[in-house]
Amino acid sequence: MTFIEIIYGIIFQPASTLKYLSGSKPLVLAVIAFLFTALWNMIINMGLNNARGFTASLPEGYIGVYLFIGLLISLAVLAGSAAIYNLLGELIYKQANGRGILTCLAFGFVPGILEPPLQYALTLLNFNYLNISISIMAFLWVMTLQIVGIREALVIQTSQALLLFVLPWLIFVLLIVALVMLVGMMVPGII
Amino acid sequence: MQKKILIVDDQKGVRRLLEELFKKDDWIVNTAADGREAVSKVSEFQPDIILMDMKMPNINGLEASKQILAVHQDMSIIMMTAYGEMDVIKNALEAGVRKCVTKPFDIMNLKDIVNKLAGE
Repeated sequence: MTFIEIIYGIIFQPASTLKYLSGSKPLVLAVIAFLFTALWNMIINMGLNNARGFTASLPEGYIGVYLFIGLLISLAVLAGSAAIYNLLGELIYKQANGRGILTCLAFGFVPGILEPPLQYALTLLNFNYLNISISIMAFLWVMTLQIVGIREALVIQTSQALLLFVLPWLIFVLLIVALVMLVGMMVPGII
Repeated sequence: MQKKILIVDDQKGVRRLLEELFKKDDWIVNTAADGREAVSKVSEFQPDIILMDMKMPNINGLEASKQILAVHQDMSIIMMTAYGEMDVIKNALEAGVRKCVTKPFDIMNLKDIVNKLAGE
């Protein structure tokens, strides 16, 4: 599949395209698509903040550094997520496909490219009340694609992929709650 | 002489992936979306190897393999199964399937298996 076919497939035939990607694993292409999407989103979001009247607090000349650090963090989150899902997949379902998961997660993020421009347009047209629904729709779209990507990469059921997707976040929330409770018990009067 | 391979899988993404993989290696590739289509294509296409998925609509991979092997006893069939389907693998090998690979498979590894079987 060519790059254009992959992008078309991610939008209109996500399951079969993600199945293809989980096997062919074009990682370099996936990382380029992911970085381009992340960069585009950061740039449009900066314009969006200006349009909303949030004055930029970045010193002049530091925009490049801000974008570079943003891309590095995005890439680290992507790689970390893929590693965690792969590890959990191997532990729970005895199925591993790290490179396939990474490729699917990266391409699954691509439709998120539509969110900031739509928000920008809505802000300029003074339809600010629609912004939250656009954000939720974009989030759900990307999340669904990433769950389907995990499912196809590990050859598991949708429910199993969903569990794998939410498990790290569930553990994280439980850890935070446990930590707060622990601190509350150690320091009387906080809770 | 170019070798022929028939790829049988109900998932379009897998068919596309394997089709591209083997075409790059100069194989003549044909595809089928289920067991019934595979059975009907074998006599005409005369493949050297069949890559057959197990779970498919109409006729599953095992039944299609049995039907093909009943007519073409020497046909080399590789079955693609999900992890943990030990009974399916056992039944497939008993039916005459030459090799079983579990999903998710590594495409380079699969290519090696196919080339090795084609060379025998």
